[in-house]
Amino acid sequence: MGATEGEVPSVDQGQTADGDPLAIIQQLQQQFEVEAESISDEAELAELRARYLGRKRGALTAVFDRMRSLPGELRAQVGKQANQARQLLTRRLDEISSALAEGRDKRCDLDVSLPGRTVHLGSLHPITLALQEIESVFTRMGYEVVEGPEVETDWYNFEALNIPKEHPARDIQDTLYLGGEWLLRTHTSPVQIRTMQRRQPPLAIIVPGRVYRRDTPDATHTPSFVQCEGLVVGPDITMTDLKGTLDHFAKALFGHETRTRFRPGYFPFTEPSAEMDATCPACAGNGCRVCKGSGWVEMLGSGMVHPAVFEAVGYDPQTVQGFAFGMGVDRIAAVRYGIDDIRTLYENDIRFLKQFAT
Amino acid sequence: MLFSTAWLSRYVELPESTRTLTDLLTSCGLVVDQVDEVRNDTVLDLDVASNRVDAMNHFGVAREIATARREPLRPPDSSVDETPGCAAADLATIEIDDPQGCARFVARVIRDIEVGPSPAWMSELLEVIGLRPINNVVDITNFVMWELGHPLHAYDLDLLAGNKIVVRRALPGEALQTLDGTSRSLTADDLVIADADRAIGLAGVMGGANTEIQAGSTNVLLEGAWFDPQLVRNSAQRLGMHTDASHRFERTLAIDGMVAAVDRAAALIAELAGGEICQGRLDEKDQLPEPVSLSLRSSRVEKLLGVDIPEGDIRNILERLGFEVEGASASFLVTVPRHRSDISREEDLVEEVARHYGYERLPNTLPALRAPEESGDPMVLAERRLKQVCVAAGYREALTPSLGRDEDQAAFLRADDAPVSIANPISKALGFLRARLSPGLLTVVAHNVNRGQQDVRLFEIGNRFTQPSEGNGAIERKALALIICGPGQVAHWGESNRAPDLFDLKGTLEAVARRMGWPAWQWRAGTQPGLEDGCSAELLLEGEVQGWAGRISAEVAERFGLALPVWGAEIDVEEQLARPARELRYSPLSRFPGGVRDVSLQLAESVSFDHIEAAVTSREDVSLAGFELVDVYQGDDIPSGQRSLTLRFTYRRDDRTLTAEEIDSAHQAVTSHLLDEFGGKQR
Ligand SMILES: [Zn+2]
Repeated sequence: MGATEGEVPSVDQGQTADGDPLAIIQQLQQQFEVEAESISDEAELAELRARYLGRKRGALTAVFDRMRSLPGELRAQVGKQANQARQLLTRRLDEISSALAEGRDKRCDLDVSLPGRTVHLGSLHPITLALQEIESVFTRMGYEVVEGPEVETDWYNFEALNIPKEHPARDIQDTLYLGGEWLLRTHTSPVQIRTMQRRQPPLAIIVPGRVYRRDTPDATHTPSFVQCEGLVVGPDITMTDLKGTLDHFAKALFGHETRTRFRPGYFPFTEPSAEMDATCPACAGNGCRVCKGSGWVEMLGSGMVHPAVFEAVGYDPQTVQGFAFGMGVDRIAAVRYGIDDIRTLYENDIRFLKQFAT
Repeated sequence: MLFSTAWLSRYVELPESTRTLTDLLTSCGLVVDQVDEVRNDTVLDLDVASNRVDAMNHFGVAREIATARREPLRPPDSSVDETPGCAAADLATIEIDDPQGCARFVARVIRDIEVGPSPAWMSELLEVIGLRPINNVVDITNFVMWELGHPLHAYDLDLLAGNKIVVRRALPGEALQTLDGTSRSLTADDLVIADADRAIGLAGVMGGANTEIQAGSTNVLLEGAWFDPQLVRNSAQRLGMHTDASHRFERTLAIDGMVAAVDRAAALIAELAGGEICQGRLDEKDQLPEPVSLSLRSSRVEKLLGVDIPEGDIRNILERLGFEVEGASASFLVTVPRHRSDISREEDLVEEVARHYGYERLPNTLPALRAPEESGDPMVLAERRLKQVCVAAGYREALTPSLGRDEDQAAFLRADDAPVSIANPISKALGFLRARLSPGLLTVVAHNVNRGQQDVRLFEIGNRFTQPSEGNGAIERKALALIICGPGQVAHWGESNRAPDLFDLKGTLEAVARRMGWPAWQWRAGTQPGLEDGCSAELLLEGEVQGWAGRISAEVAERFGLALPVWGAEIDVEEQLARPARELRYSPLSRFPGGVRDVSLQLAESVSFDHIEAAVTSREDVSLAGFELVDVYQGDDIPSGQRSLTLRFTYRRDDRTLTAEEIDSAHQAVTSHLLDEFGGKQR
């Protein structure tokens, strides 16, 4: 976008204006610099060259043409100035030319709508994400995360948890055995036993990990799944603490509007025992397919630790008490993320995993 | 378990709306799984906890409702109108050979009955809860079981050899055709009811066909007994017979519950099938154990529940449930009714009080926890960081099952690694614990490739299990596995793919070690089960092999249905995860500029980069600040057996600026050192 033709001062105009050819040369140079600033391509550059130095209509060429009619002394002076100006302009035109050549390589004319370069980030499995959410709710309340072995002994998995040999909960149908006293833990409670044996109260721990059941895989069962249990022991831990803690947990996980319902349940290792339901996150408690119309989803089992469990680890049940709870993380993840078949979690389809890239 | 509301209403006033009733049952621990309208009745499917055998009948459920509503409970009429001139003891005798197995056997004799259909009211009640009416006598035994909870059995007295009942263990080779028509071979582990000659019933499970009540039967012996739960459980399990009776006997019935049940049934038979009830109740038993007495302190109730429940409420709840309560609240003396075999400690009583006080009435509080002594299991924290590093490196986390096939594992195992087998597997395909994570990941790769998703880049962290060299159990250790395959992920429309290879895995693992603050693994060429020879490496720490990386062999890939190259790595990280987290520490940065010099060395291929690295790091030159490999070249101008390595050295000092001459001279010294040590020439 160079200057338009006709704006270039001519010697004629100059003469008419103030008649000083030296001043006109100076003015031409200044004007040239202004116009040179806005040159952006070769065509404009050629045009600029033609306007100032062109054989026919160049403004500076015109000065040379008129010079002959000037008086001798002035003619010499103007000639010298004009020559200098021509050299200067020629050099500037060359500079601009090479700058343009260079600029052609650097020139930015991107289609910014094209997609960006992909950054291949990894992702965590949804069960890990759910577990981390669960852990973070409890660690914020002052719990420690503790883990333990998946292969356990009968004593840690059953006996110490007030599930004696003839108890129906030990049904061979439910437990996978390795031989001898060894089995695959059916819950992470053995880790609570191990922790209590190792440490004195007060304790507040959560215990995530894989557990095993002798279940044929279907939409709601897999033979191994991830569980997260918790245990709080101290001199004055009450059932109201259990309720308050788990109600807070449900709200932290599923949203503040979530309501909870505690109802009596049965576990050999807690007394009193309580099952906790939460209002269905899919329908906010109005009833839907996820909650089979009831508006409630079963979330976890809990209770006050049975005195026999404290006796098994050498605690005095008259001076310490506490609560315990346990939940299936697979199930929580399924409810939390709206997954209707638990087996999907272990297929690890990339399209599935991508949905959990956070 | 199905319950009829019409039936329940025989014993207690029910709330007007079904919704109120189901809420009430749920809040006292009897969850209503389903509500169905059947005929003119509302049928509830209740989830009765396995320890609450007392609530596995209509009267028991009515007792819960009556307690929850503080309404009166109306027990059914069990009064018996005996006929003079006929004594039960003259018509039958009871003998218990195994008093451990049968602690009590109660019987009544009813004569001159007429077997026929049950009246409509009874058939309907049975039908709505899913039972098939058979005849009036059999229906009455079922009705009373579902009314009062104690299973009963009626024998045709005239078919009883010797008019005698013997409770004993089955004899060797003894068989019994049970009421379902199946012939059962019995063992000495089975408790049976027998007459003088033969078994006539499998105790607590099912009666025998040989003494069945049918059309034409006229005299009945009605049995109500107490059998050992474990014996019943074992027989039922071994013979695969789960019956309404065994379900109850297995759960420890009341030792006195059969008395009312037998009387109630006898009265009903007399009423509905005619006949006369002989005088006397046969009752064979040892000394019955005293009922359980417990002390209950209201202070204990408050301490456990966190609320002060008034003494009157505690007493009221327990008495309505059938407990006898004496004394004052400082320490009540509570006698447990025999139908509550689940109650044996003070805490059990606290639960009874809490259930009927209402869990929903307990306030929500938060315990005052003190700040934890430990910030958590260090291994747990380390594993979490390791996952983050893998994610940052572009890998997606997969979780694969821990149970699988032996054959899938075998491909990756060394001779001394024995996988752990499950003694009672769900199926052959789930018969072993994983000894390696890679088979699970390969299954995932195959799943994805089969769905057209060829670019797979996954990791898993989990436990691996191998057999200990002696004894049972398992060695359980944490491992990290990586797997990559596919044509390479295209980052940009202007660029082309690059298929992944070993150096992707190596780079990732080097980054993992750096980020985790672990010592770097040494990489050594080696053969590995499951990997392609020449494309695999062992990873070592202090001379010990920790794992491997390389290309999955074609045979193994094919086993998983994979045709494309797959690269994987798997490393035991148990000890690494247990290392204390790296301490972060600042080291001052040099304020002086440095210089960079490249050199290309033509060396024998046998000179590994490890050797060069060792030679360079062994130099005690304070001005040598670092070096890297920038190119490996083999071309026409390089003789075979040799290669050209271009190394870039950085020179810098912390205390002053190096002159160009000093840098040149240091560079010359390194170059000469390498040429002296490894031969070759500078290019
Ligand atoms: Zn819902």
